[in-house]
Amino acid sequence: MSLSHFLPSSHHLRRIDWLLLGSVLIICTLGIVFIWSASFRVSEQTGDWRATRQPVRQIMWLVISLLALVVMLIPRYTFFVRISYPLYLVGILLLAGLFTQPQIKFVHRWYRLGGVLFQPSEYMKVILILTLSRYLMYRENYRTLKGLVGPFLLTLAPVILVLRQPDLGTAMVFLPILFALLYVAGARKKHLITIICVGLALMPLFYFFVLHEYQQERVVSFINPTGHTRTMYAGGWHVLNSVCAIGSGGVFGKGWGHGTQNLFGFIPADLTDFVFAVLAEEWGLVGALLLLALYYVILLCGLGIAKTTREPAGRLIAVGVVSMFAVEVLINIGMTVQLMPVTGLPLPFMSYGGSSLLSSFIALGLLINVGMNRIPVLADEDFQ
Amino acid sequence: MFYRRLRVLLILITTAMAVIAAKLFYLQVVRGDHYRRRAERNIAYKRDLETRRGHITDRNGVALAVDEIEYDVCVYLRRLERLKDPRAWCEGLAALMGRPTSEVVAAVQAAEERLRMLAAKAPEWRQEQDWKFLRRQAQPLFTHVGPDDIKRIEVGRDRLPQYVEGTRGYSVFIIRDTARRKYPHGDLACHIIGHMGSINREEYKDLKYGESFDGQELKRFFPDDRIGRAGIEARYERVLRGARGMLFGIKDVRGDVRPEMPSTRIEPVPGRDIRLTIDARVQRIAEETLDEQIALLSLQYPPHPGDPPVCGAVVLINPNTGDVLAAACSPRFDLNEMHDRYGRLLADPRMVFFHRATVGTYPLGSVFKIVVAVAGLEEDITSGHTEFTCHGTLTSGSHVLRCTGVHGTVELSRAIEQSCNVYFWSTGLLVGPEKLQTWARRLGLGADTGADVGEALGQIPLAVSRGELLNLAIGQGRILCTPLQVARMMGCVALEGKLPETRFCTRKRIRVHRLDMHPDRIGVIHWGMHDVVQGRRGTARRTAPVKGLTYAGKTGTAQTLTLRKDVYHAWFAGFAPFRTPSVAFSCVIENTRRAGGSEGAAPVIQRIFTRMMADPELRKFFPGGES
Repeated sequence: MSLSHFLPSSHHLRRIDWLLLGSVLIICTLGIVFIWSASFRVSEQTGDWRATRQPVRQIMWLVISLLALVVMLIPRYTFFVRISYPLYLVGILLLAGLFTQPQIKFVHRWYRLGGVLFQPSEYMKVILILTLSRYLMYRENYRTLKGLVGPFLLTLAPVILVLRQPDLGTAMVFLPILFALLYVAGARKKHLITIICVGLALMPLFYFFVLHEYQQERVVSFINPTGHTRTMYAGGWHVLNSVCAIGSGGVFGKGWGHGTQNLFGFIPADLTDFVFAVLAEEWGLVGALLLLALYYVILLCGLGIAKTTREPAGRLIAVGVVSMFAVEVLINIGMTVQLMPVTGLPLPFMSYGGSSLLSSFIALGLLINVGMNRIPVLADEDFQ
Repeated sequence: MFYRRLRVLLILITTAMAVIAAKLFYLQVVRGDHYRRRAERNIAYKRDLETRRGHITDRNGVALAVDEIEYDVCVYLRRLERLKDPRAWCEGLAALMGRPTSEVVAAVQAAEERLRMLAAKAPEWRQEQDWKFLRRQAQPLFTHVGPDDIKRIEVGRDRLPQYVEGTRGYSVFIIRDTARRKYPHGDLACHIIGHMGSINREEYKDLKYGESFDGQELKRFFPDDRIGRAGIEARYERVLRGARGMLFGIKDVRGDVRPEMPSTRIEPVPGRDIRLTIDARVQRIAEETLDEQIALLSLQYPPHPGDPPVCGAVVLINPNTGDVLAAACSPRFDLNEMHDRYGRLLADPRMVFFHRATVGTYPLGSVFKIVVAVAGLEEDITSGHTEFTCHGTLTSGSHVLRCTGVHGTVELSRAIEQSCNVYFWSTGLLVGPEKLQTWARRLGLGADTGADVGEALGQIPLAVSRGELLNLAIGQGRILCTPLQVARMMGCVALEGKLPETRFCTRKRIRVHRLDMHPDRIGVIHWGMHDVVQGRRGTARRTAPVKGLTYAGKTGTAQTLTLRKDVYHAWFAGFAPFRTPSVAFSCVIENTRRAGGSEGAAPVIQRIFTRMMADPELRKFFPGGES
């Protein structure tokens, strides 16, 4: 076997969904542009170019992520499906191992490897998609309530571990992925609706016994944002300023590098969770809708791949990845425009942060891989 | 089924996206202007630049009240706490200020303690937030720091450790300058200058005060402002008050101004200075003499417990212009220390804040006889040669009224010289109550003198009975006048009808009223008053004469309203020099025991004039005074 066997041929390259990849790359570029916007004026004035280290690091991470994408495209996705159970085990162990690590920023969320922080929960999302896809691939029993126990257990294990970190935002992504996969795999609507209703009924318990005080405060401030804003550290301050930044952008925005809310520090976490607010302030409604459209294109492409794939695992992977992106985008943007409570969830491909970017690209790699490798299936019915 | 469910998923995602797009449209287009204004408010930095209040000087430009810049060193406690080594900073600052480190540490702790106290005043749910908020603000660490220390701190501030957050370094402390009112002469003319006080809630809410001042936004009052509360400071608040400056800029989320961003600056306009008509030297002499005399009287006649306190006032005015040269009161208070001792001063039975020269009202006693004489002469009822015979008493109905002595047959000038009651009782009866009241008011008694500090009106009663008329004719009874009114009246008599409005400040225009008086008739009164001081039998011949100065005066001893028979108000009023009147004066010592006008009040004027004559600079107040 020669080396060329493993490298993507031109034949392969043509089968890559370039529309999907192109949209992603545009979003990444936008991300770097606005991460720079949030930091460039400081360096321009102080002459201290260290302030530009964040966009530079983001570019570095983008290169690493692109390499990871290429790696993800080399084997068929069935390879990843096959090793998904061991991966799941490794993921759970890594999550559990976090509690032996010293706290960083008061939470057990990262491993410190050399100079970089490694966040296992980001990768656990992708692993869960693979695991559930493999688990649900050839089963019928999820049409009964008893059969749903398995996938739920598989999902709840990481969810609980992530909640304990605590990281409500990431934990919130796991459940929609599960529901989306069960739904498209053919679980009964009746069951799913029952479970959702029970879950909603348990919400007050969840609120009072699981959520930390600061998380409760965020929920309260989502319902009543102007309540305690006499000082800037009250809960609603983040959202109010984010909304103010977005609203003040108007139709065409204040221009790149001229967002006052951004420049003078009024947008909290402007590089990570609230990067959308920076974009919406500086490019206005036009820029915000452009970004939404790009995400919509990604999601449409993903659903298209799911539709054209007949191989059950591939379908499920595609749906899982799409639902993961959708949930992340909706929760993050919903949070910045005050449609959702504040949860520290990054905007995929856009927010500053290596783990998020890398895991998003790995998920993207899986999606493109599914789209590249059409495996013929000889079955009349789906999922047989 | 799979495709159908995919479509449902697609619809779900599309709907959610549409909701977000709708919300974006709402925020950015429908409410865009609202949020744009809010974003602008967020970064708008506005700072008031302190201004200076106008100075108050005497007529020669000697400063009486000035605004001095003082410096406070203020510290950001939160930044200090986050330094790597707060102790090193304390040591550095202590070295710069030349104080022991322990003092700086103690000051920091005191500031912390003060903040905790402040925060504890807030409702409980807000205490924590308030406390954090206050720790982010600069808090005074050392106040009243001298300019030399400040210079050293400014030079050495770069060597002190800075608080670094991100890539920017922030200074742990700032130096704030504030203007504080200083009174170089302490208690000199304290009542005329008046003290300053914090504006109170009602005044601040009052539109006249709160909304704008003088129609200028920059002169607007702030809740913690201090305004003039008495005297010139209160009356000329508009003039003295300076306009604040403004600094508009752009601030970041910490509230720090961004120096690199464009800013606009409106320079502060200091308040205009005010020049008083008071001569500080004369005022000082008058105050010292008054204090001496009161101390002397207390020694001679030791007060019994429960006696009303002995106080007094002296007024010297220029009868030509109405300029008040001196208006001294005793007791006084030190304006510099007033705020620390306010409670004690307020509790003083002598009523320290009472400006006796303009708002103290007293019965006039024999000084009022001048008015009776003027009324008789001007109404053509008596003349300079009219004679009455004094047997020492006057019988009115069943009452027998006693005169000050047996004077025999006296004419007007002799009657004034010896202060013969019988003469003026007789004249008063001839003149009648209405004319007496009219002339008293014409001469400015019981009337506004037009002074530009607060003054009392006093009162001149309309005698309703023969007994009251007799009483009024010698200045007893319900009559009340201020020393300023009496001095002005004396000026009017001296200048034969020239009656200017008094003034304490040279900004006020000189306004002179003219009374229709006959100079040739008034001359008799002048000679009578001349003899009071210089005459052989004058009431003040022993205590008033000044070497080298011929002047005219009239003593008075008024009964007080207390039941005690031996407590009087002692008066001495007149004008100097005799031939060319250029100073009209009045002096009252209230609640003297046994000492009448000649013994209680005349020595004050005598000593003031003696000291003024001894000073070649001050002698010019008596042109042609040598005789």
